[in-house]
Amino acid sequence: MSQLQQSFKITLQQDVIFNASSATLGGQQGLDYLPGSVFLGALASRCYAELSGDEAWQLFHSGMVRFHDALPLDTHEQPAWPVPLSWHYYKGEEFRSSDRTALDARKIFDPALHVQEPSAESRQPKQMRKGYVSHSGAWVQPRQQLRMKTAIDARQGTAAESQLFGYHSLDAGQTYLFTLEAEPEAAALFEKAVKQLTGTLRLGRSRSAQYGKALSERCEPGQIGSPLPATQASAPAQTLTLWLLSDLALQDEHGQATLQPQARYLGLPDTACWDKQHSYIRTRHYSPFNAYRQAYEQERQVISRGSVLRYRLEQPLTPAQLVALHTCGLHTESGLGRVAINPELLAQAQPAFKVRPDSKPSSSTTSDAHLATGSSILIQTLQSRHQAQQSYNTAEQEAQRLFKRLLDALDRARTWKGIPASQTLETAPGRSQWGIIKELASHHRHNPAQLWNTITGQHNGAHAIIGNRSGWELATGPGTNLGQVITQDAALLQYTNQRLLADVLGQLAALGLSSKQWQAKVEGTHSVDQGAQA
Amino acid sequence: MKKINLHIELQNYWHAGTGSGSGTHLDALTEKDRYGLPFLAGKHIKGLLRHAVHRAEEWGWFSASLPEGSASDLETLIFGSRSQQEKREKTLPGMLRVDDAQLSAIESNFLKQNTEFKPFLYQEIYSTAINAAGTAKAHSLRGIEVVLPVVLVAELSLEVTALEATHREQQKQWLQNNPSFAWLEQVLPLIDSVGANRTRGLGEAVLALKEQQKERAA
Repeated sequence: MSQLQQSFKITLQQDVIFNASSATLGGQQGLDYLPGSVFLGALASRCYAELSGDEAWQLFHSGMVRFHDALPLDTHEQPAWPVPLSWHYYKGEEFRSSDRTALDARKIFDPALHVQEPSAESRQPKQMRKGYVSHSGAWVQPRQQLRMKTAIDARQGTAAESQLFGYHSLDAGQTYLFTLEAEPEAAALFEKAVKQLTGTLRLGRSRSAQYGKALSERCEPGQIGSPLPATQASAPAQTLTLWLLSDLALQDEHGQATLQPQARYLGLPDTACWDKQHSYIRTRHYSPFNAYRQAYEQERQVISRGSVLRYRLEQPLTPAQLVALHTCGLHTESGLGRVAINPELLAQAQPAFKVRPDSKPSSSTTSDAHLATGSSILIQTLQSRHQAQQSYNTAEQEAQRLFKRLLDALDRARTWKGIPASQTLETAPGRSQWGIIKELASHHRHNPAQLWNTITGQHNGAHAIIGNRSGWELATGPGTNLGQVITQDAALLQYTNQRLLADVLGQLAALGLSSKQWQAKVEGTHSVDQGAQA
Repeated sequence: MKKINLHIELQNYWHAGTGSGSGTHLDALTEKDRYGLPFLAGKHIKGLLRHAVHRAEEWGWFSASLPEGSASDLETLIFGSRSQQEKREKTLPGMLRVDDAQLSAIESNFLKQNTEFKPFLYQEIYSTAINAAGTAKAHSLRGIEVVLPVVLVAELSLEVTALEATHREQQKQWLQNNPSFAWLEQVLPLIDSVGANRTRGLGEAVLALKEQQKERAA
């Protein structure tokens, strides 16, 4: 009977924190995956007390039920695995696709299998250590962030002494694939576990506030790709390649932790031999904290995930031996020891990625705009401010445009009247005239029609502000004067019934009052035509 | 598990501190989520609620006695052991879970789809210290980013979290004896402001508990 397996899609609804070690002092690095032990712990907190001793042993301690590490999904919801440590690229050279979301297979190589070109002698291979890769070559780097928080002293209302903490978390919104596996003998407990692990979970540290909430959804068969990388169709009979998808804890014949992955420690035949020259290993050690016992457990010394172990075989492994290899070593109930055997991605010196699927269309979201408007004071306020900003920008642009036209008109006036550039235009509008326009714009802010009438004298030309007086009558050519630049501006005429008119005229007046350009043009200190002066 | 929503109705500008500034422009930026929307951290809210329950308990507002168990007072039963007060192996977990306080689903979705409105959520305010002469003190100008008054909603939940049998039983018994959140509603008036610079005029708020309703999905 085959093993039972159920995959879950885990969506982080809040930031989650998983520390690389259980230390409480100092800056703690966060993990970029969800250790299997957190799911084991989440289930244990819910149902351990209700189980008999034998059931609890079988479910949580025996290794018959295994809670694998949850690994990130790529943007196409395909599983991604820790980048194998055998992969290298040449330092200083780009190894990613043009959009930097995938690895470029042509730039990545396994130095143990790769024949170095003569031109590469001066290039330095650099090991890839971070991120996850899917079968299509998508490179996933889970997003993390660090927040510093301090407790507040309730009596003083200030930051409490020695209570500054750093929270290194995985960002909310990311998705992971968690797999629960069990031997057929544990079927009943497996079903119970699947049920309890479906729904909202609280994972990681600081989960009582702000952190830890995740949604666990069962995956239907075929919904998401296989949790294991594809195996070579026909692996060489005399070599074995193991890609560690989680940390591996081995013990030697004396029961001591060992970081030397000798063949016998993995249950391989005695004739198998660890090929050190073609293997890549990193190690780490940590001590898990058991919340029930409120104590640290024995320190674990592990070969890190991503390590690539290669062995020489005298004869091919039997199917039973291969099955046994999929999870090996200690603490398999917590997800350690998960291994990909003879993976296709590591078969050659350079990886062969599958074709990337087409971009997934972004999920459509129902627009609630029609509901929000009118039902939310906040939305109304934001819309109003946005509109005012737009209006301000438009008014500013229009005022700038008109002002430039007026400056050009002053030049034309000099030419028309034959007034040298060095002389003052005595009849041009001055600060008083600009001030009047500014005041009128403010006074008639809510009544653009009245403002326009007053400015232009539409109904009573004798009283027009911009009329045959106060400098606006300055001729700029045959039958034209300065005031007409404003009163006959085609664009401005569109605003004569809009509140925007007051903004435009107000900003125009402000330019007239504050701009040194206007003063210079009127007083003749600005050189209009360098050639004419000569 | 029992759940309820905590509504925080801000009455004026407010600021959720991050400890970060924007270089030479602003000295303090307010906390934003990955969509650029403002929120109030669950840890901050939990701290405010804890302080309120602590004061209420000190003043004898809660008459009912606690069930027998590891937690000696209501504050510890609800919120867990105080930080750094106990050794790691002696700490007790609390029962209350506090999520971040966020804008309503409708407002959030609107702003995620209409990003041009987001900048108008924020304002910049500046202040300077005044010296003995009554003028601005040199080099004391400070700029802080604040948020418009909004209504934020945070989900609160109460559940049995203890692993140790005695403590677990105490939590279960207390939940049975207190089927509602009345004990929390009682202390909410003790919280009249949220966020940073509460003693400097920011973050005045009215807090209220409301039953959860199914909001229209995005």
